[in-house]
Amino acid sequence: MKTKTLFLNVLFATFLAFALYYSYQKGEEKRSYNPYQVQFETSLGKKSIADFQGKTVLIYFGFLSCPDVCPTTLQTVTSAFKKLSIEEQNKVVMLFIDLDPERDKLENLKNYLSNFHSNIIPFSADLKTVKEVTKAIGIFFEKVPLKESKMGYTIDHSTGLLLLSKTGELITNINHGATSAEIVAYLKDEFKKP
Amino acid sequence: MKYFLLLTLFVQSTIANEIDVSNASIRLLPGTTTAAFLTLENKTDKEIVLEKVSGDFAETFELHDMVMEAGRMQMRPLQSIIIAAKSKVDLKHGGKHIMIFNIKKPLTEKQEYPLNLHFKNLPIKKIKAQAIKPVF
Repeated sequence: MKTKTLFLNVLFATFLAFALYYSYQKGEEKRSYNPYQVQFETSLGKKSIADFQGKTVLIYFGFLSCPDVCPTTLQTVTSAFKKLSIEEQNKVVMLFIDLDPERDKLENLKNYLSNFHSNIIPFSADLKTVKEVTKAIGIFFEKVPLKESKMGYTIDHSTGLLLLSKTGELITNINHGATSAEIVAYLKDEFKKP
Repeated sequence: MKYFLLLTLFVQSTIANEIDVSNASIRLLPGTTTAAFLTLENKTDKEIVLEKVSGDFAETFELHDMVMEAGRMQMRPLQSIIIAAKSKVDLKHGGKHIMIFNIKKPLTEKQEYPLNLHFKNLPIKKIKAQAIKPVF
């Protein structure tokens, strides 16, 4: 009888140990998830946001069927980059993370972005990855069906422009509507940092 | 005969003057999707309703509105755009616009493209919108 109880106790303890270990492992996975290290397909091959450390980084989340807000940001950033010296231009990139991978392919993104500044780099990944990364960074986006439109669906999305220091620290979220001069001021502040 | 001609001219110009369209432009963008913007001025004492836009240079034209809420951009189709009596409606960046999909061949900067504005209970108004690259 005693042996049986002991055996059951050992069995229970073993089970508990495994359960705890498993949940710790899962938690560890979550804790170690770093959206800045997730690999995307880009015009420069497979890259993560963190790969651009050493440069000041602007990140924008948009899609190609966006007729106004996204191209306005792309044009504003292009104007801002053109206001910098060549030396300064080499210190900064903008990453365009695509929110509509079902419609936009890397080739389309490359073609589209080739009309703007060459320091604007397309970032493309499957929908699941894009959802995980945006959630972790705190960027809102949602696919919204549009029954009355030939578009079929649109993407509601945050329109801010994230500014990351050259050490990868999130400095600020530049609001949509910021002028190219304002963006230049943000960038020059970053360039001054040691 | 002379009076008849004058009367015809008068009637025609009244229809043409009920609604004034200005600043018509099409945003020149890469790809096959873009938007057109314009100002509609209703000169009458009754509301005027823009129901549809059509044209030859693209497959689809729709009326859309854009709403920015807490830094989030939302775009939604509109059934119509109402221009109240004696007032103006601006279709402009960041707001109401004519959404254009599937442009048949790339637009040329500064070239004018014909658009047909379909108003409720009014004849179709033919206008021209210039393809431009706005500077930001």
